[in-house]
Amino acid sequence: MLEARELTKSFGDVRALNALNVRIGAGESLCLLGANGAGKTTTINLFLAFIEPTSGSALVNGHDVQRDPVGSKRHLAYIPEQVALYPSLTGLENLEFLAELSGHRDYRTAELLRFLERAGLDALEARRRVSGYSKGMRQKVAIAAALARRASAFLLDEPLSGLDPAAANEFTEVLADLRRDGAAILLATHDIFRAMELGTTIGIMKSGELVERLDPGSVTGAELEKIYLESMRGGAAGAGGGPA
Amino acid sequence: MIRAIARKEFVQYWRDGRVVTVFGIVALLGLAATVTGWSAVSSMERERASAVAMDREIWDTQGLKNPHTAAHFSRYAFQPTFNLAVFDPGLTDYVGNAIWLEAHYRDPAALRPVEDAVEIQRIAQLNPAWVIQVFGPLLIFILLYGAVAAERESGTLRQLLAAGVRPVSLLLGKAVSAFSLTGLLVCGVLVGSAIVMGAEGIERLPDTGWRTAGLAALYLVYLAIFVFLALGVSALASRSRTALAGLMGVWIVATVLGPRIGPEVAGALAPAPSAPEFAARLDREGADPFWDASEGAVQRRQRVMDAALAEYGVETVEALPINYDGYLLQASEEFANGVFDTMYAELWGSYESQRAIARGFALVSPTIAAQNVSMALAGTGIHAYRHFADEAEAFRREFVLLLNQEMIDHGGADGYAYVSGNDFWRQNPDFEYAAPGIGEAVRGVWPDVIILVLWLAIAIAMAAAGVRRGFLGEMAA
Amino acid sequence: MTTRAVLKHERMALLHDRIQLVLLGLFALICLWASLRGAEYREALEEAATAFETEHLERAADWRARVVAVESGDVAPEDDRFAGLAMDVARPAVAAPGPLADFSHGVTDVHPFTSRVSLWRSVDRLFGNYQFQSPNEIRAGKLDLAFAVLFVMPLLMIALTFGALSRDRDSGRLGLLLSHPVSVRAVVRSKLLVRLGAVFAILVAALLAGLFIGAGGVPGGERLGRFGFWFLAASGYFAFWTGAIYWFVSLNRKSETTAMMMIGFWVLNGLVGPAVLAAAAQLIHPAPSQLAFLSTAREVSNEAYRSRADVMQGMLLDHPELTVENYTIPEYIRVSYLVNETVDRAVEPVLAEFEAVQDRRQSFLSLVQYAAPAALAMRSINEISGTDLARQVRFEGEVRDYKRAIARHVEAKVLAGERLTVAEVDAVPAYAFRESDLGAVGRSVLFPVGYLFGLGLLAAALARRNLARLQTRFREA
Repeated sequence: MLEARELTKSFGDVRALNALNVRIGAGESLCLLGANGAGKTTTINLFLAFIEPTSGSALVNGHDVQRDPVGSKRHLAYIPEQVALYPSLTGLENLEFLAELSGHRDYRTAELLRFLERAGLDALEARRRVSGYSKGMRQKVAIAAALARRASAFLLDEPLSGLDPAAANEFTEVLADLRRDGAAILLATHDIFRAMELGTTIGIMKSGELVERLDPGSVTGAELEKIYLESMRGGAAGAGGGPA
Repeated sequence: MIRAIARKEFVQYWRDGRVVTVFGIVALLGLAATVTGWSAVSSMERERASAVAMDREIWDTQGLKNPHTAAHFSRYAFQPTFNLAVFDPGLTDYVGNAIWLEAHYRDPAALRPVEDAVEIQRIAQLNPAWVIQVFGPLLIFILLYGAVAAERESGTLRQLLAAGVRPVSLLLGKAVSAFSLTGLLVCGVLVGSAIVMGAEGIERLPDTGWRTAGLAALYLVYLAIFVFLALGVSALASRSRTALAGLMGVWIVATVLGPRIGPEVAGALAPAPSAPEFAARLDREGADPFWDASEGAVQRRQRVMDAALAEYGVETVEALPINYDGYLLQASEEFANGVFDTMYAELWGSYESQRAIARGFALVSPTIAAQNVSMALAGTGIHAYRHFADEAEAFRREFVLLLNQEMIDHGGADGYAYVSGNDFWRQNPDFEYAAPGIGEAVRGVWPDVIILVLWLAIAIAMAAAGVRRGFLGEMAA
Repeated sequence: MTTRAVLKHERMALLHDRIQLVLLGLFALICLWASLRGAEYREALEEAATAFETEHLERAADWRARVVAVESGDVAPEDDRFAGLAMDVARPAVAAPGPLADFSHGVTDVHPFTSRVSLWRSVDRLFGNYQFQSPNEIRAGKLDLAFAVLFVMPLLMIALTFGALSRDRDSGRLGLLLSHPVSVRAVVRSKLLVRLGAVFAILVAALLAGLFIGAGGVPGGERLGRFGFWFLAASGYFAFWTGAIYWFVSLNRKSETTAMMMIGFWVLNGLVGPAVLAAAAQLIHPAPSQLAFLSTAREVSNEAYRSRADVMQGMLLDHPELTVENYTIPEYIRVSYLVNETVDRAVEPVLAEFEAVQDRRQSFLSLVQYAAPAALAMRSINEISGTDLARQVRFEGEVRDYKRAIARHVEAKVLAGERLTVAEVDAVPAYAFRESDLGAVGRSVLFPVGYLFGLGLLAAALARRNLARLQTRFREA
């Protein structure tokens, strides 16, 4: 479960995130839409404790990430836009290392390969060095790592940008599976179409505020696009507030 | 185009705090080194001048004394510390300042400043040449490690390419900017040294002008080598991080490890005679075979006597019109001189072969070659020292001969009881040392010059190839 | 638990990184070379010292045999006029190389360690001609274990660690890594543990190898004790560098910047610091002029010789009992003794000043050395090895005192022109150089070495704080 309480972050005079309140429970996913600088990545960084909130708190499975930056990550998975791995190691070796980092030292190779397979990487590919991997393949290793550590909360920062349509589709399916298995997902994206497909809630951010909160079932893609563009143009920062 | 690139580089240097800091530190070090050098050289010269005067005074007023006893007391040859030692003291601290010109023995130069130095001076000695040799390349590497690699990383190389920049322009633009900045440092340090070198009481080396020009040329070539090396490595490295790591490796090997490992290996391969052993041998072999009670020595002395008797056509020593003790002493002197010639040839030869071996390491460290040339030009290298020592030895022989001759000619049958007085001492000449001109000074370092030119050629070729490859790679990307 | 994953990963990474392995191998090679050459060097010094002592003790024994022969009546006194001549008493004074001279050559390569103490020599001439070492070699300095540890080791540490955090950072992996339940401190610590652990392992192996190689077998107690301190000092220096590196890494800068800062620190600590401190010590506490000292000794000697009648008169006024009749020993012997005595007395204050200046410099450096840990470590290491300047100054002073002791012992006989008896010959004091005891060395280096550890710990504490902050701030703009 991911929860933000009055989460606020300022960089100098600039308020990057203003009193964000969200709660993403098991099996839920919140897709954040917004222009560059709207506060999406800041939100993710706050959940990762990579930056300190100016006020408020971020909680992962009930742990305040500032109070316990290491422990709060035990069941947290993070997939950045560019997954950087050790290029001289194979996908499997990278996975083994990442799993061990989370304290899982007892996986056998077959098990690790199974995680990779679930993430969409076959055994042959898994035994190749990462230096030859595409962006999508590297993401799959990161997903496999999340599976290996039995992550229950996912933070994804623009994971779909730069993927070809087939890879994006595959990735979306894996994410949907994860959500169905009970993961809480926070995903920042520019892609309205994928947001509709993945989100149980869609949030629109602007200048550090969550200005809209929509149920993808209640709007069409075209409507969402219209709302999104309108909220970009002007409009009051209104609808924030209670938990999703 | 080159100008545009160079101008952009200068702006970047100026805005890069690291560059400004390093440049400032190096400039400060150069200044401090010049002041220290000036203080050291001028005090050494002051001390020498008073020692020379004192030596003369003592000699002139020694009173009644047997000339050969006087030859044992004898005089000193004091090595001048010339003006260019301010810039590169070279071996100044490691060779003695004074050679005792006593009879029967060729002394090494004693009073080496290093013996008085605190032990940590052995780690590094602050002087202007050292600042340039060690910190010049470091500054260049910091300026240039990203010259091509960083342009590639940030994507600006593609843009330059699109703008129609030719590799050679890029190369020259970068080279010119880094070179002029470090060249400024060299010229600044040289000019600073030249100013204090002109101070009163510091002796001028012959051809100081040419030597200074030579030093300027040497260090510009030296720095150019590192400029092109840096460009080459930066162009060939995949990232600026790798380029920097590689260049730091080059710097350490070239300026820190090479100059120490070279002589170390040379010392192992061609060991110089052990100092205590050499001193003992010099003592023994110069005197015993002539003076002791062995068969050979007795015969040797007999031959001297026979020769004297034959020369003057008399039957007995008592009948000789000369002071025979003086005659015998001079004969022993000449015998010893032959021994000294052989032994010192061996000693100098061992220094020379060590230097030749150490020079081999100039293939990984241009600093070694540059140091050799620099010391030669500054008149502080091994050849300058040897020149002085040989001149002093030549004077010693003449001087001892002069004293023995006085005893031989005027001592008659008085033997050792014959004495001369102040009138005679006052007529005796001084040792006047004339340092060699530039031609002779650089005779021993031509191989080093060739090595440096080779280094430069290789560095330029490497830079050219690197930049060309960098561009091709970028076009293919 | 998670640390173990990083450790394992790092171990694998190190074993697969050819460049890092080559660097580690090179360091091991340099250490081995230093140990072998050091052992050879120390052995040569020891042989030279022993040979010198043996030769001169034999000569003294031969000389004693002549006294015995005369005393026992085997030889008529008039047949060996000079047997037992008090002026001819001569004894060797030798300082064998320090217990760990193979580890750190210190100042041993430029200073005398043997002296033939004879009344015929004034104290300024007690150390004969020893200045035959190759000036190039002295200038370059030795490649001993001290150099390997003080200068090469930190370079290796830098090369292995400058990318410890920044490589992950530069390639964008750090975010992914830190999204795992692992603290950035644990990551950095594990990386440093593996890389620096490898360096330390080589250091320990190299020092142990040096201990045995230099001893030519199982080392004795004294050597072992000194080695303990040496090891502690080397570990302190390692700890200091570990702390510094930990701190530089914790600053979380780009690889290039980290590397530059580390190299810059190495240069400041290892080159600039010692050079500046040495220059400052010598500028603030200049040594008296060696040339002036030489001139003084010569002038006094000349003056005493010239006015020998007065000198004799003075002596007889002081010692009326020595107005002996039938003085059969040549007059010049007594004169020489008195002239040398006069010189000894005259140069005493100058020599005291030399010692005092060295003392003042040492005290100055003992304070300011804390600004340059390389200088501090070198001084401690030399002291532990028994190759420091203070030990040398002590030896030279003791040899002069020894000459005075011999002079006191035989003076009456010299002046009276009497032979020494066998009993008197046997009672001539002997000289033995004593190394300062282990406890004193320990007390002296305790604080400096502790300071190195302290600095390391301080830097590590700061680094820990930086990393703790980094844990929740590493993406702060």
